[in-house]
Amino acid sequence: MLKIFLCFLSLFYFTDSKAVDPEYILNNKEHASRLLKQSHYNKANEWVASFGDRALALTQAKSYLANVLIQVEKAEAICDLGFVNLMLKQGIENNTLRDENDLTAVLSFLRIENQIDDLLFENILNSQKLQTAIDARAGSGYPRRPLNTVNDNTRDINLKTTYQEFTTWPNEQSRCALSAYNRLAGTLTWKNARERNQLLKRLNYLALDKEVISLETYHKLEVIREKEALDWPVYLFNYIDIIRNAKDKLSPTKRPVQDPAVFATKYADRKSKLTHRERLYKNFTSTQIMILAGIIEKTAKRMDSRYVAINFQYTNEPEVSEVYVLSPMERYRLSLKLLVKDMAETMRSDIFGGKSIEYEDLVTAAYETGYIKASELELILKFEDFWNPQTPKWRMYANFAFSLVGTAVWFLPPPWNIVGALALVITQTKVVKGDEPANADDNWNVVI
Amino acid sequence: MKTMIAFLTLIYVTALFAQSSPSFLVLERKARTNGTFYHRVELEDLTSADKFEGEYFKIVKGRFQEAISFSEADSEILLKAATAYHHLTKAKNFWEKVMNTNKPKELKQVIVRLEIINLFDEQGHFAHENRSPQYNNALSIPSGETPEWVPTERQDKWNNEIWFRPMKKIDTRDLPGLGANPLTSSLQALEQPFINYTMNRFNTSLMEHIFYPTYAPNPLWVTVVRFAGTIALTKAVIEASKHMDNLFAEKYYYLDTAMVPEVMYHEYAHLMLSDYLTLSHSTPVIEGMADYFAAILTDKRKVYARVKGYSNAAFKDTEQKRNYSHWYESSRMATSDFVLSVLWDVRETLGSEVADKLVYEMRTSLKTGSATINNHLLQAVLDACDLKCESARRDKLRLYQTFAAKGF
Repeated sequence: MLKIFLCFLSLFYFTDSKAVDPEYILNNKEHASRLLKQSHYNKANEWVASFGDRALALTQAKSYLANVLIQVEKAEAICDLGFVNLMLKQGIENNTLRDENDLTAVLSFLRIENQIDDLLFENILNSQKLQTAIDARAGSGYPRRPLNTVNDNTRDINLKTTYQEFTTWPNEQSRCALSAYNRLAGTLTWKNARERNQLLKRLNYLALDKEVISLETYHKLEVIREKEALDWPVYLFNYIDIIRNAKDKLSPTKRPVQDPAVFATKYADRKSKLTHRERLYKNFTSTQIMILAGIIEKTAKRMDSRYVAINFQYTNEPEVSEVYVLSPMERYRLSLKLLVKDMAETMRSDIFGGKSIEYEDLVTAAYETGYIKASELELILKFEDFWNPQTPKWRMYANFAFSLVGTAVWFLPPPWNIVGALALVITQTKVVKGDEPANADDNWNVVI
Repeated sequence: MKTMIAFLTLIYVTALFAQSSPSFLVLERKARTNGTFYHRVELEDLTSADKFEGEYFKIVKGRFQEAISFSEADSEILLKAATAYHHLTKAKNFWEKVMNTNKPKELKQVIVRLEIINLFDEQGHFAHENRSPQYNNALSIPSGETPEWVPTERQDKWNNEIWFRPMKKIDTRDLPGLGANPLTSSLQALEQPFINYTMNRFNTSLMEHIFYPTYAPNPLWVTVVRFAGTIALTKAVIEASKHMDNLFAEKYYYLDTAMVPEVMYHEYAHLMLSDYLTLSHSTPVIEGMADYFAAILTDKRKVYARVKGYSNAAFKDTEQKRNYSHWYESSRMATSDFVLSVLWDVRETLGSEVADKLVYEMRTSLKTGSATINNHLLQAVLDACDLKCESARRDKLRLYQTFAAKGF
């Protein structure tokens, strides 16, 4: 009876535009999980075994997640640590969790069943680890002073202003600890993460030393710093914002459709170890994502247009004009050139504030909003070759080898130098030039 | 028992007298190679017991109206008639069963003329034999009739027809516009740079003789003779190469279109496309589309390959790699294989099942007289994809990339 009532209640809440529809939380984009390990499977199976029936366990887990999401809506702010505490409290109250350790098991199970994606899974696991570490550090003694605490970087910082949000610890209802910490870090400058951590270590101590923050707050801030919470790819607030306002909002059915792609979980940048989806969620808001997807949408409409013409209005003969109608491939190339122009304009706009946009961000945004399908991703990614052609590695090595050999041939005694030169030309024509892509500039029948 | 024996005897006797389809020797392409062989086949859909006349085709000779008889004395004509009937029937079956169109039935009986040399006259049907007799070619003609002002005795009305010209061996030297052979072209390209280089070397040697005569290795006249001889040898080699045409081309050119199966498929395809692509004249687009269906039916990379004794014409290559050039738009390039290769690339991109229907659908947005490759052909492919492709947006993106790779 309670479950029926909750389902009815969830229906009421989820028709609200602020509501987080669990259907949008489902994983329909990620081809496979990067995060699930054998230990996760073991824990999930162990938790499922306690229910006896996998289907029953799934129903229970889904209902548990839906209930937590309802509670999230009631809060003034969406906080990462608050969300984890809520999950633990709700889970134990409705007997989904036997104890705090079961949270990982339930999350793993939800991920295995694709009820959540890697982004939410990672965020909640990170938040849980952070909360556990904070709880473990509680009651610790006064710390040792770090070396070189007062230096050129820390001397001129106004600690009271910098730490004003931590005079009392955020309540995770109306104020979020991680958001406040991000804002705190945003007031500082550093070259890299190592420098940032050192700076924050010194500042945290100084704030404690000057009694701007309490010892308890100091230890919490230190845990957040040590766990590198500033480097998380996704925060809950961003995630919920995008789920609500961007994800699958441009799909033809206006509802999420199962369309996983390998691209979503491929690393965008090996150095930062962010996948394409992570990078999108980390760097852009929902509004920005919709704008990025809109660029792809506009490009598609341009490509599909039936008539595009260039109109010449002669200066001295205003009654006469010349119209050049573009061919299909000219429309295609013009659309791609306009895509680059749109990207540049978007980067310069106030909404993006000069933020750099990669073409892959546009494609990821279009995919995330449901405008393009997984089957179209690889084709649309190839558009970038148009303005940024990549020379394959083998061709670079071949060109280098040929240039070396070409020089060496000069030093051969005649007539072998001529024979060598001829052989080189023929080989180069067949091997390298023979494989060169066609150049539209060689087509005299087009203007673009 | 007696009833059963009588019944069985009746069946046996009936079977003896039952009409079986006659079988004829026809030319066929081998399955795996471009070679040909002869075998006997039974002709389908015949409506006559003694002539090459059927529901869909009537094979006649020249301007005659009577179908060629099974007892035709000329064995060559008999072979051509049977081959033409067999392959045209094969084409008809393809369009009915694979392409799922009723057009073969709508066309009614197509007259197929063998060994006809007359030009086609839109108003008179046949131009006079003496007026530019035609050889080594084939033609599909639309249905028509003579105008009202033509005298009654010369009034004529005709349905769709396919004309096969007789073969004639032509000396390749008499063929216009072939140009120099590849060896001569290559040597001519190297000629001027080589002569410039030689002249520079000569000038250097001359300066040595003038300013440092004691250091010159040879007398001046030796140097002059050597360099002049080099230039003369170059010219002689180029001139000799002009007489090596036979290394690159055969002495004679000939094409008996009625004995090349792909020509029959090609001509029948013209009739199938003629509801939109009128048979008024030859253009690269219309010829390329007919070549496409001929290539499907022959199921080989090289289309119109040689037929021993009947054709030594060049084949067309479905996988021809040349990129687009504006010259391909010219009507003189109507017989080139470029459009065929573009459509074949479309087939490889979309798969045969979708592409074949798509190419057929394309005809509805093309006009014979005005369709260009760069503009109208590509647009027709994209428009047809909207109707025929599984996922139009995705497949059109693939087509754009296919066209870009072809140099458009």
